[in-house]
Amino acid sequence: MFNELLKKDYIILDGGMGTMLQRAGLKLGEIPELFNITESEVVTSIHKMYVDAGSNIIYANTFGANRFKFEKTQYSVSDIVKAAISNARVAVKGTDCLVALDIGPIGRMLKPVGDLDFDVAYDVFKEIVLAGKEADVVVIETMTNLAEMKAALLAVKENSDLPVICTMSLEKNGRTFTGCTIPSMAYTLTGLGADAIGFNCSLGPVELIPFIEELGKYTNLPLVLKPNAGLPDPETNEYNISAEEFADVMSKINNYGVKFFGGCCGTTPEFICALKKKFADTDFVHPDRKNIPVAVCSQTKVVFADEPRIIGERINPTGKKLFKEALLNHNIDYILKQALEQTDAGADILDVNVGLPGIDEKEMMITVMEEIQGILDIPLQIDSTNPEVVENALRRYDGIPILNSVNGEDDSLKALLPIVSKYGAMVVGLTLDEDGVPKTVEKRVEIADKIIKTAEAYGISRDKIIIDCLTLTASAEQENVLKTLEAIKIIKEKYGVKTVLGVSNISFGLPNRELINRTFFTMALLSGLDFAIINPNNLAMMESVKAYKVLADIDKNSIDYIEFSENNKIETDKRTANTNIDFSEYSNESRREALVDSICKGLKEQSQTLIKLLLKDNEPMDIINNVLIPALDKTGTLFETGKIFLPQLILSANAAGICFDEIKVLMTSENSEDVNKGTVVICTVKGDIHDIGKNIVKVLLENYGYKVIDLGKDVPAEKVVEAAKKYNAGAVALSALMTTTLCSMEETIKLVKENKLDCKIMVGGAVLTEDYAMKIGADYYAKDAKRAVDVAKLIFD
Amino acid sequence: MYIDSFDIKKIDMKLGAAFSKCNYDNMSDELKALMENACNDVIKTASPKAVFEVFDIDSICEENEKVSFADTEFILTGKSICKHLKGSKKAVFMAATLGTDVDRLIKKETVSKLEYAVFLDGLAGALVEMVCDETEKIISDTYNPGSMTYRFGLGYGDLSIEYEEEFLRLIKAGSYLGLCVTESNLLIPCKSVACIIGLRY
Repeated sequence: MFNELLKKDYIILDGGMGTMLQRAGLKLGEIPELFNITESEVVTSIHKMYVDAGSNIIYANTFGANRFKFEKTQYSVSDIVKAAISNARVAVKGTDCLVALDIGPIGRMLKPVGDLDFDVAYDVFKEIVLAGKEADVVVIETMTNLAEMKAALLAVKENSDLPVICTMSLEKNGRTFTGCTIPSMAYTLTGLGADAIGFNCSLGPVELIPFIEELGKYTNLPLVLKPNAGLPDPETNEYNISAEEFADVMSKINNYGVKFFGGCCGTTPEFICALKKKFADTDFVHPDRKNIPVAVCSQTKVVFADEPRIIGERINPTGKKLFKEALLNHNIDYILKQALEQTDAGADILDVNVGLPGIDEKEMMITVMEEIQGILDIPLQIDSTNPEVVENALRRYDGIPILNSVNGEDDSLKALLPIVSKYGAMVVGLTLDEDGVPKTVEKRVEIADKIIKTAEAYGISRDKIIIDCLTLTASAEQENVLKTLEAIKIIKEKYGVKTVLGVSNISFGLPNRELINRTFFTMALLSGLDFAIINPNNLAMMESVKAYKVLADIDKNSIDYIEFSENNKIETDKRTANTNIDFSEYSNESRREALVDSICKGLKEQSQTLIKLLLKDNEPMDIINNVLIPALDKTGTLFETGKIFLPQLILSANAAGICFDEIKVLMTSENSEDVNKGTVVICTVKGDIHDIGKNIVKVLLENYGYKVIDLGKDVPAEKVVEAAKKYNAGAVALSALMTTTLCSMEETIKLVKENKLDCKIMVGGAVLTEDYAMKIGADYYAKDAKRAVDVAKLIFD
Repeated sequence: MYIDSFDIKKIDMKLGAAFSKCNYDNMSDELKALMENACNDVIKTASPKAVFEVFDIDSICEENEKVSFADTEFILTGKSICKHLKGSKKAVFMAATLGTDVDRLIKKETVSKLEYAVFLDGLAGALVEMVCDETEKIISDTYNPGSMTYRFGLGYGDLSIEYEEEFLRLIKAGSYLGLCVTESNLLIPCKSVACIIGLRY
């Protein structure tokens, strides 16, 4: 039925339901979907008006029908949805008009912006889909969060065979409330298997024209346009376009690939009548939308593969002791800092690998992925070959990621390609198989051929495939180095796929690695390399790609190159300026005093210079106890007496933190015991998502030398107990900023005590008092971050 | 009424400093410079919006601790709201937000530059109050009350925060501002306000 409709030049949807229900007696604040049961005839008659006006598809009155909305009513989702579909069926009886199950936003925000878990959102949508099985088509509309749209789309695809139309709601700037870009929407929804996509609500037809035009560039799916009746007048709240004007504008959108036309808020059956009349005299041209560019994206950013792109490689525990430690301690901030650094250094995409024995890779991958996506726009490359990890990561990724990787072995292809296909991801294929790394160009091409053809059999098109011809080490296989590059040229030409290389391997075992790396990198770029996995913090490598883009006429007028060069000059000048003081002439005692002064002033770089010098002649514990801690105590006192403020306290703590990091690096390299004055588990309790105060306490405690396990925010009591046991915490620090979440704090304290853990409990937060803290069973109350450190001293020293 | 064109070029620094737990007048020059950068970042990143609806107050029953409004079944309960709206003929239900980008920026800076995040957080708090002040001016110009009460938030006094979700739905804060609540009724995006103002004539 739906497929039959698609053969038409245009398909007419219906118009607004809200306005019509209000005219029929729906009061402000009443739940519209309840009318399906209490005023079913009214609903049916509105549907009938649209059918008579010319709609080919009518939307059942189920827009807000989810379990959260009906919690406080006597009706279930199933009751409402079934009644709604039944009402619509009565209206379309005897006609060809189809009935759509209409799914709108849940009304809660998904993590990491809000507190709704992806799986919970999926379940909410699944319930609606199962209740709406009697519909002919499903519509997911007025979505603003791409992650929520994804949860809904998956719920439909996995629980129903019905075709699905997806429309999002834009602001005037062409993005949604959560910053979703039009290309991100196009790539993600096309990749997930929507049958048609477009926009509804928020804007009128005129405002949506440029946006629907842009959408058509990034998908070849049929497009949908269901605008409001113009924009609301600021004074009267009335919409400003008449039915005729509406139809007139819509009829001019006849050659952008839009197939589905309708109206949203403010539109009535009159508007649909006008559309039908006008379209009868309109010629529609449906352009052949090929040549969709290859791209990877997050919700808020698209990276096109139209020029060489840098994939940052640093989020990977291999060979990195500190990174491994961070994973074992669930130190997410460490990983986020790596992400930030690489992004600032110019990475276009970040590789994320968190595989390590002893940790739950699946949980860690989801956490890291969500945390990075919560603060950065940069698209990600999921680096794992564990099918369970890959399935969960690709499912929950917000956008279209790259999977690194599959290879030529049957097992690898069978296990991972179905997952790649289902979620529309891009995939890296390594040209190796059971026989290992090939020695010849021909064998590489052969394996690439196998990967590409197998992928196609799973429904993965060539624009989703990136082939890795494998970088060898020049010191071991010098005669084969150029074979990698030759293979790149041949594979690109023959199959039209993109290519990637991990560049740094080339120089292993040779002196002056940087020179070999950047020369090979430039050679690879010239051979047509599309993606390079490198360390973006390495200036030489970034310089190479910037220079290449100038010479290959990609960076027009060298604008980016010039800016990059100027920025680097500023950074270098800054660095030389800051290290003006030459401490090498200072005595040990003077250096110790200078370090106290540096920390008090919050001078990070100077502190780093001094600690390095001091560690040559002084024992770490001596420096900690007799230089760092007294310095911090000094700033603490200044803070308590109001002579300095919180930001300065943080800066000082950071300067001390740099010193602790240097000590840690030294002790790690000497394989000595880590300096650990005590372990504290910290979190914001369940129901509370404020965490800046908790983060300040964390930073202070860390920089005073305590080991801090940060569980984040909205943390259930069980997780606190689990972590306290796992890490042998001597203290648990709980934060809550709302009176309504104090009961969570009380619950958590109770559970810790029930489990007879050998730790003390300190609590803090704007809403707490000393009295209340004692009342709920805490051992200590910390009125601010500095006091939290004093409490830690009491507990541990 | 929906407003998305706020022309706020500079944030009240003293208020921002206070929200960041600092005293602006006693701050060092370096801190003031840092705060200046933070102010520019907040202005650049924020997309301030507000929405409000005005209801005639049907009745304020102090005995039953209930306030009811014309044209809606929605009611508010508690001693505090009765006291707040006593003497008012109309009630403004208002919500304002700076959008999700500001929240993201603060989160990002919390990871790498916490001292900067503290200022961003404080200044964003100040900006949202300024947005509310501007909205109040528009309300005053449109409805010409004799006087207006201060902004009374849900959760103040004994006005239950449980009303938040229904309140937002009533004024379509979800559709106009992208505003919603968490399970424990916290506003998302975080830099947002939802409140009730009484208009007295």
